[in-house]
Amino acid sequence: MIEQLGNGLLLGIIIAVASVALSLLYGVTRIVNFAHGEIIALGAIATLFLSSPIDSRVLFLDRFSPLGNNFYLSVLISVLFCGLFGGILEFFLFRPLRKAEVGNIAVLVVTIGLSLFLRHIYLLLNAKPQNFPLELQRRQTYLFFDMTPRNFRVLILGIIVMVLVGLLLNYTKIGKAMRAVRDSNDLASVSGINSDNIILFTWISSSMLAGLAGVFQATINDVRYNMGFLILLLIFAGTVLGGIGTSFGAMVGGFIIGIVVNVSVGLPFMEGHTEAKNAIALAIMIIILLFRPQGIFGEKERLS
Amino acid sequence: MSNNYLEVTNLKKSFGGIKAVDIQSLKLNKDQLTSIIGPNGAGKTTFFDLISGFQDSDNGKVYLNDKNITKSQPYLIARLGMIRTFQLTKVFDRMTVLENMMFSASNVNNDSFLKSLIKLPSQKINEKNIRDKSFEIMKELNIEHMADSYARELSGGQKKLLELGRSIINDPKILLLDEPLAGVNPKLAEEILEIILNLSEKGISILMVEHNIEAVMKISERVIVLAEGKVIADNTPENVRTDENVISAYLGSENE
Repeated sequence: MIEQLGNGLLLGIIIAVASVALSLLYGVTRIVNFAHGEIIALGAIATLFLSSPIDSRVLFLDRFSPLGNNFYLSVLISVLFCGLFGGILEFFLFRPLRKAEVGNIAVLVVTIGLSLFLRHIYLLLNAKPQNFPLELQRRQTYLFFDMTPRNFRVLILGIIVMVLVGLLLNYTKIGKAMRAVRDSNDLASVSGINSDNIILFTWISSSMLAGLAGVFQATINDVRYNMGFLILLLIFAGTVLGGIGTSFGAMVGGFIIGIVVNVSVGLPFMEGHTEAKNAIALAIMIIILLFRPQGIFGEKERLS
Repeated sequence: MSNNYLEVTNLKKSFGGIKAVDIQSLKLNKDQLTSIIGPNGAGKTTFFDLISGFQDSDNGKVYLNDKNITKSQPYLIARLGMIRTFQLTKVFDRMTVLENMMFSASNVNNDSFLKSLIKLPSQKINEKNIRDKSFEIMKELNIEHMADSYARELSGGQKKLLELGRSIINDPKILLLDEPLAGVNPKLAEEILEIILNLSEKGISILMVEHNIEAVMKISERVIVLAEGKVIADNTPENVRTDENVISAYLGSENE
């Protein structure tokens, strides 16, 4: 079981980053974004495209290599691109829907449609799983777990990103404005906040975080058209487990889910049934919700 | 400069076949504490929504201190110094009472993204001033002891007080109060009326929608009565009390 802990920490940090992104967006806009998985995949796909040698690419895009295949630069550009993409989604799709006062359920269905649409575009671009063009690394021991130096860097970077998100939300004006719009859009407006701008910023930052989670996920596994969709359920589980709409809860919930998924592989009765590992994580989520319906860090409101 | 802060001409809003608001002309005077009353469904809150930018009118113009604010965004109207409250009291649930106050104070004229990321020394001083002012107002409203409680933990009445405090921290020119006494016990209602009178004396123009007729008659200098979206009376409290139209509008609505 202990050898699975390293993998668990890695998946935990990925789910945590992705869950924070989902939770931020839900908190501020009340949108349950099923296309979140596709933004995750976009981060990985864009990085693969920008960093791969030209001859390994597909379709008509194989002559394009402006960054000289520099991996870290590719990651940076891809994450920014995801932010831009999220901003475009908000500006041209979700803002008009909001102005037309389309209901939450209808918007949820729109995100499901968007998810399917994007996933199949990715499928058209490239159906087979591919790896980032990175050399193989040997595992090393860090404290009490084993992982490759690259994965260790993913872990550290993930933690840094989450600390930064926490600082942004709690100590900057824009973070406070996000919390204000989350609590009451109307009240934020009468406090002089342009909530459209705050929502746009939320879409951009949520999408950048999702893209980064995708890069992390692909660094550890590979790039697939449906890679985001495959972990979307775990991300939802992490968000719900931590308490819907609380960013700190989403971090902790995501982390717990990721660790449980991988550590459960080492349980005796799981031998030969590793495909069932998600089931254990989801069962734990259900059990915790039975005892704490608002999630671990969710809080009940006074109803008077 | 005229003495009117708000001027409305030919303002109309319908929902389906129902005319929610249909006001030919209305001018509100800076130094008169003015109240709007009317039976349920008279269009009072819709009128507030139209002048504060929360709903777009079908027709007509709204001027705030001679500036055309028709169909302006709510946040822009708030920045012009007209602050409203809501019938169902709204507070930032997941912020403390102090954070609620400070947040409402700090953002109005200064929300550039860069400034929000870097705290300059001048901003620190500014923040201290805002904190002091928040405590001053909380003290006046008697919610100082709740400063570090989360707003969602407050009772309905305390939320009303916080909402008032939040609305006045930026020294608004105009306050639109949507049922400031709703659901509040009689003792607290007295206190809130006292606070409203004080604000009015300090020079804040007040327009209030309220169902508590006795309270309205007691503190208002001018009472506007709406029924089915139209102004059916606009006079001093004494005259409104005896107005035939008003009596029949209220009795009519009770019979329904």
